[in-house]
Amino acid sequence: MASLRNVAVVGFAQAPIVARDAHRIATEMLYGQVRAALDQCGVERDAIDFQAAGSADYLDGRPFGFVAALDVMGSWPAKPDLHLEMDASFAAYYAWLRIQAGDSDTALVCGYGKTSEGEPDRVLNLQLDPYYQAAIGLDPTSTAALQASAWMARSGATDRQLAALAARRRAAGARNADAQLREPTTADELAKTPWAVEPLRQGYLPPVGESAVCLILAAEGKAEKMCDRPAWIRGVDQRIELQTLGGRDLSRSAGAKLATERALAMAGLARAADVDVVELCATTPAEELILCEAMGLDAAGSRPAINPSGGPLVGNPVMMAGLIRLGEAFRQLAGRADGHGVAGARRAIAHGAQGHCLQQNVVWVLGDERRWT
Amino acid sequence: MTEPLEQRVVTEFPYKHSTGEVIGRFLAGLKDQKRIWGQRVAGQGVVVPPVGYSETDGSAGGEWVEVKPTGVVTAVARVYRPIAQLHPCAEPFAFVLVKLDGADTALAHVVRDDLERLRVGTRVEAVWAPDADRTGSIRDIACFRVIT
Repeated sequence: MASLRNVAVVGFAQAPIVARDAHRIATEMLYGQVRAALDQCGVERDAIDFQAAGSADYLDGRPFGFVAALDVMGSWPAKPDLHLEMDASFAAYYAWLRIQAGDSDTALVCGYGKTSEGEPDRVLNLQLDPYYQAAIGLDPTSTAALQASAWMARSGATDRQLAALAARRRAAGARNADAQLREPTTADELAKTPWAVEPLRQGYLPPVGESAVCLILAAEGKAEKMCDRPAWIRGVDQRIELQTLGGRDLSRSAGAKLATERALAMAGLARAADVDVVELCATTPAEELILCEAMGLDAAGSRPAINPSGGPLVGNPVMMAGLIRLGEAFRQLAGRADGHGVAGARRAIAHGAQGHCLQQNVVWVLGDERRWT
Repeated sequence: MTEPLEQRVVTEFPYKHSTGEVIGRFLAGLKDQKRIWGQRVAGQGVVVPPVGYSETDGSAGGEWVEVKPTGVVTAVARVYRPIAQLHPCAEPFAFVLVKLDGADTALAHVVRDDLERLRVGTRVEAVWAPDADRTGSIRDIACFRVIT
């Protein structure tokens, strides 16, 4: 592996995930996070060389609405900018790439969007091709249920196992001040909830939630000045898979597997299990189990700690749930995870996903030490 | 804080999508022939429904191959509370992926009856929409039904 620039996460601010913020528009929600993240780093926005965001205009009901967020992020003096209609973790990946290019040392990465304002099932149906898949009315909960059924058929996983995993995440979420679901519950209770779409029960899935997040990346030389404990990016990889659900083996995540292997190789690690904390962007218990298999992790093990924040099962703001995983990895390594901190965490993996049935995956490997000398 | 004001907005833009040479030919087979055609492509075998190229290696689609209207369910999602203006019917139904006999990939569709008998591995067959209702859409197959 050629030597790359050492880049770190140096700041992260997140609005607590709520069902609906009735008082603020999306850019108002985001503005506070941009200011908070800059404050954490002790800089003004003129210290930021590049900015990138992930959002979906149709979720907000404002086609071309992403331009409104540019002002909040900092469009003056005129800035180089990137917007993705993807989870903002992928925007962070391109910001990292831009810093590798050498003309930028710092980047602001934002995810935002008010899912409560529209009809997310109908909007996210449009991620599928219009002829074969969108036309029969598939929504993300139904495609997730298709994937869960394929996983359960192959692995023999039971409804009870999904309930147990969801209950563990709910217990973790109770310790995370930014989580939407903060009431712990039992697997027994969750297993009594009605089907959302069988084989997924309502109790296993996060409700509609919205937030706004801002994360700051900085290259070595500046990162140390902006953060006392930077979370150094030691490896990262991003992979996309087929759009046609029926062309994939939905019981597996080939993209997450390959991205993990490549990111670990960049980081100089042999196994995902060698880190202390893993944050997975899994929006159903079945997705989480599929990801654990793909990454070689024991979903029921205690180390590495998996989703100590509770993960997307306790709060799934669409288009930023992945970037929150990267922010959570930073919080763990920087000692800022407060109530859900993992003692002694020095290495972390943060996973992001986009699209139906984990179509696209990005995997970050972070540590408290620089990768390249 | 005072009660927040809200504005209700509907954004509506109708489209007239081309169906193209490959998808259009597949859909014409449903509409005019009540036959299901796939395309043989490198790396994937017989792809149903076809897109004109291999999604796995990018090679161009090859010969057209008719597949049977029967097949096996590879994934099933039972919907008990259909979503208005999105789902294809108002009563409980199931989304399924069906690997049709003769195909190597699975088609996404719906099953409307016998939901309790539906499993991964269940055999199903296509139910055609009436002649007057077929428009050149994947929904020219009205649904699949469990083969008894």
